[in-house]
Amino acid sequence: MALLDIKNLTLEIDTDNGWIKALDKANLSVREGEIQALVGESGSGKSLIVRAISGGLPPQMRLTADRMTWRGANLLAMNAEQRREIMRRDIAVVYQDPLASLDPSVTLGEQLEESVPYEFVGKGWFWEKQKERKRIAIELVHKVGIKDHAGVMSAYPHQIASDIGQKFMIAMALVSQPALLIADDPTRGMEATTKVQILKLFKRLNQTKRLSILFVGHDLLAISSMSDSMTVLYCGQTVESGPIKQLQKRPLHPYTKALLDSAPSFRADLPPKSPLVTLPGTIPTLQHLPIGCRLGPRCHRAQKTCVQTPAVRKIHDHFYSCHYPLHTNNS
Amino acid sequence: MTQLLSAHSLTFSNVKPAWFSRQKRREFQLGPLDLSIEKAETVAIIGGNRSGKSLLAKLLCGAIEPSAGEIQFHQETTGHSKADLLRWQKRQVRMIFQRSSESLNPALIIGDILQEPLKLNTDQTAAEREERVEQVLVQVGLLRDHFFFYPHMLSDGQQQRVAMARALILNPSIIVADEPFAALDPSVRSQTVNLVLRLQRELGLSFVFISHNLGIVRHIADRIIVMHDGQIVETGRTDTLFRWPKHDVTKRLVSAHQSLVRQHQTHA
Repeated sequence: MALLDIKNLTLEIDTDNGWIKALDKANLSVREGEIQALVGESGSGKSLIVRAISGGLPPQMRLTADRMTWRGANLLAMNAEQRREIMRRDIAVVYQDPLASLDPSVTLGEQLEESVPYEFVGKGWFWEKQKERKRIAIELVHKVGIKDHAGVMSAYPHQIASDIGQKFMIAMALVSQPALLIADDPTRGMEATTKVQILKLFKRLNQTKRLSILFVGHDLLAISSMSDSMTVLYCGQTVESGPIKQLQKRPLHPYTKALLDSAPSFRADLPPKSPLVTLPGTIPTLQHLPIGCRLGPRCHRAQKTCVQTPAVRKIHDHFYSCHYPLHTNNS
Repeated sequence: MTQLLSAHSLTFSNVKPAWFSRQKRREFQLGPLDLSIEKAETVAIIGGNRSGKSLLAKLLCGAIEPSAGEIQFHQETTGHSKADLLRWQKRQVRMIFQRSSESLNPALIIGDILQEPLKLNTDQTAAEREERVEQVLVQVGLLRDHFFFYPHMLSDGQQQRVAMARALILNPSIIVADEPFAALDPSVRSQTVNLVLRLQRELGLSFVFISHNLGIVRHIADRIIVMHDGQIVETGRTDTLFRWPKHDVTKRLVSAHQSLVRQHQTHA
């Protein structure tokens, strides 16, 4: 059963030029115990989806969806308190920038201890509870691969390196033993060795605790090494989703193919210094979104029909929305 | 190949005599380093955080002065006094900063941003400067019209191109870039990589860059410098270094990267 199921999520932003659809019928579902990757470039609305799930949208945004459920319960119909309860125990989010999302005026240790749920602390006198909190916090910090716990716990966010901050954010997310971990670009700016450590940690948690992970980002190398399935987002539209093996072997949407081609490590036969395959142009801004398939102006296979939004089609559990998919004969 | 630049026992340490401070500050010392850069070659600097990569880049382009050691140029220089050499270095070695969006002055139009280095380093007239700016804009794949744009009107990729244009405008022989690809999205990143490759082919530039992305390093670098804790621990040709890493730090970096790639290949 799907843990988190989102269908036709549309998010509109109120601007001077009227309502703009930042997310246009995005679909996403995370099954129990799987690692799902959400791939897209900046401005594609990845982070908006994360915020929509966590319920942290500002009031000038309007959210509509056909379905948005957590273990079968409708998230949109819930009141703030029920929503908070889910966010407290079941879903944990690692936000993008550790420096921006941690409290700059409180030490890291205090912040981590504060987020330990009271059920875990047990009954006892306040000093016993305090001790237990500290124990849980230190254990977690070790678990994510920070060795010097004393130094980190007594530091303020600006005093630590960004990769340690990133690890610390992961520790904070894991403290409530969630069922779903949403990691928003957790490996950004990390060197290869640290990145592999973090990915191994995720994989281990996934296997031992059956933690579902929604891995948001555009580091395809990291994603393809650990995810089970992948959803590709372009400008607020989900263009393709399915098991990662299939997507890599036979991408149907031109954008997925371009993304995969853009990483030189994926192609062993590529001679050094040869030009890489790219899509022309850049991602359109929200004010100038093309109609229909939003990839249209950059796509080399685009034809007249592409000004209409393509419907979602499927082959087994491989979903795509394109009028002229690759690897098929009708184009 | 002809050597362009070489550095001998280049050292930098930021420890100043602190008479009144109670705590002993943690010292970080870069070097002493020896390195050389040849004409039209691409050198990648890799290494962990706080290994002194960015510091080395800044030393190379003369943004900070080394506390000891010297950088030598194997070219005709304009003068021989220390000030002349420094000025020469600043014109010949240009830098691209990590986040192009943050390194462009938001209050100036692109034309003025690009004219600034010309105003400071040459005595061209306004008309000549404008012509040169337009020439460079076209060279990096932008339009002449972008002269009148403000930085916020451009996309990430275009801003990166402007940063590239700013580095190119003085006709340097070496470009030093601090993580030029890190903040970019995959498709824009490939475009930038292609741009660098094309410019190198056309202009015969040397390109020194810092990167975490070993996939790209492997693709475009001729030679790799591995840094750890302020020291160069290994240098070598890209192919050799990826196949037979010698130092522990290099082994760790390369095997971490390879393990990801291998997992990918077993998938496919």
